[in-house]
Amino acid sequence: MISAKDLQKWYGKKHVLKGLNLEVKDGEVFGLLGPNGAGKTTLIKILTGQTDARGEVKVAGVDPIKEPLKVRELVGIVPESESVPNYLNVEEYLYFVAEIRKIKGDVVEKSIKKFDLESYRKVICKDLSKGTKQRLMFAAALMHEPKILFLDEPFINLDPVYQRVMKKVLEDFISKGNTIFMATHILEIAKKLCTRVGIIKDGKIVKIVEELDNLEEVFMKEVGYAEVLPD
Amino acid sequence: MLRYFLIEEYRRHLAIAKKYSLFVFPLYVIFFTSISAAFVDEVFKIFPYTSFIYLTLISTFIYGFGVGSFEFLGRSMEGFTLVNTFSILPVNAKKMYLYAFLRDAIYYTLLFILPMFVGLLISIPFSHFSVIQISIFSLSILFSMFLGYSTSYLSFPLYYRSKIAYISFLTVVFLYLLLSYFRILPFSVAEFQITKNPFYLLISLGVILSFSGIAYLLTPNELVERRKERAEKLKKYHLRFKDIMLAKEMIDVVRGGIIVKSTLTYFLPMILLFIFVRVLNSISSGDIYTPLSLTVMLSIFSTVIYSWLTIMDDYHYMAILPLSPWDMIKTHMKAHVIIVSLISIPIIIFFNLSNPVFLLPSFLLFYLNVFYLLAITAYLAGYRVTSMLFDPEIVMKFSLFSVVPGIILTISSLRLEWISYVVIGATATFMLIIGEMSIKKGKKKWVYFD
Repeated sequence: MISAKDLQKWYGKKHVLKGLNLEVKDGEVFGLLGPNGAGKTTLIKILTGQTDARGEVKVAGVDPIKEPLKVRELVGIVPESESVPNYLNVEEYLYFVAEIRKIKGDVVEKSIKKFDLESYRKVICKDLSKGTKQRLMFAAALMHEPKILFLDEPFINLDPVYQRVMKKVLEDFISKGNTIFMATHILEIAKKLCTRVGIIKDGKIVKIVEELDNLEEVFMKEVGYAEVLPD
Repeated sequence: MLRYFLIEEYRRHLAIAKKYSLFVFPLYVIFFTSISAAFVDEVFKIFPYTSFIYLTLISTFIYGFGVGSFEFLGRSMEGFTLVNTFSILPVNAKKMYLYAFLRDAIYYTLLFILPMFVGLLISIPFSHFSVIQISIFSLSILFSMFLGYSTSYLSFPLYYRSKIAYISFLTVVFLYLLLSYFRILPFSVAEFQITKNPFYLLISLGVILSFSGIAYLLTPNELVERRKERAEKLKKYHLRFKDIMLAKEMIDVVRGGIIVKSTLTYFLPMILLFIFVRVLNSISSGDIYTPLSLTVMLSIFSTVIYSWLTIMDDYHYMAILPLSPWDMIKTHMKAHVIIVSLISIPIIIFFNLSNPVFLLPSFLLFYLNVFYLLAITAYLAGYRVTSMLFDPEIVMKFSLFSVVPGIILTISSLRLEWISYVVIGATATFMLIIGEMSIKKGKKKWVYFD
């Protein structure tokens, strides 16, 4: 479903991804863990056709470097930064996404209901709180019922109530055999939702963790935090 | 704090241009000014001196207002920069916006006015101006620019507090400019330039300080984002324009206040240009401006609208949808054509009323030049053009490809003889070919939003 071979990415002179290899199968919930600046967001941007890179990449059979728009047609993306338009209200934004993605039916109303956005329907997107923007981005990412969902720190702005609601939404998404690729800092969420976790450090996947019971320990060891933490 | 504002501004330019590019820009101004000064005698053969001074200084005022509006009503609202740190530091918005005002005043003086002064000094062997004449003219330009810039500073808190106050203020400014055009009211810096009486300079200084002082007092300590609700309009716009991207763009234009913000930076200058051309034609023995030369000027000035459109909305959410930067650029172009047509079509029709034979050629030339300028700007600067003029590489290419054909078209359409038609035809063909090539290359160049 998702594969990357010898992936290289430079931002100017900065070598961000240094020959990264990755394989994610259908129906997996793959977590990407790593310290700040390890290349998590860059990897998601490459996989979703938001930036170019060198190497072999396939997402749902499509090369996102050669066909960036095609891959964005197929997948859903919830980015780390708040990415909403300034002057559309919530209802208009969802209508806009539905039209861009050519989705038929009553999908706007369903999304508003599912993500509890009714009381924000007329509010201009830029005036929403961070958490509400995050829910709106979830709603927009899932409107076209993608088979793969890319999430970059998806719970970072949500309060505990909506973290639980979103976990349920994701569990429902997974139960249909769909795939999730998620970058997160929150080990608990990775442990609870993911089937496998890749630890990224200095632009490379340094470890794939399949037994998630000891995830925290493995992560600390791999990224070198164990050495700086007090006993 | 001002030091940090200056450093931040420098680094913002570095982020979009090459290192030291910012310092190449003044050299470009020096070169351009000295060349222009060398040909000023030719200009005075067409323009009466007083009209030239009024046109130049009112244009400088409008330029000062335009760049100030880009800062206060456009760029300062983008992203998180020093001017916005009042939300997390023990400083107030009032002071931060004053620093932004002072920063730009220093930048524009160093980047434009000072190099222009040096360029004029260099031109002395060819232009035969004296140092005193050059100093007086440079002072007039400086004060005119600061008059415009302080007007934009004052318009910022007015816009924030009340749209009605903002529009009323701009209406008064426009009426004053209009009456100045006809010499009913004095435009202080122009009167200083013409009479050399320093009293007019003192008046200008008083206005600049008053406007800046009132702007400082009216800027609130905190700029609170009020939660705004808006009724659903997108479906209606979508039905009207049959294009969801364009429908969304036009919603942005209305809600983002582009029409209001561009009132003094585009709509009113175009009306002033039209009045100026009519007045000049009526006082001269033969028509100085032809319908074709007016349409060329209208299309050249219209590029300001494209700039406004590119800073209107955040674009990051487009990157997570199946949309490319070129889709966005195309939409800006369509919106641009709609907006500039609103003001240009009536002006072109009105100007051609007495001689309708030029109506069709005027429209053809107008839309050809609009298409060409858009294609060149979109290819070179893409979807973010605000700082384009600080990248000398882009300025050089833009000047070469857009200003040169514009000048050729303007000059050749001032006298409509058979040779003019040949030059216009050849230039138009060149513009069509280069415009088409720019569109094709732009599609390949603007693939990612990063």
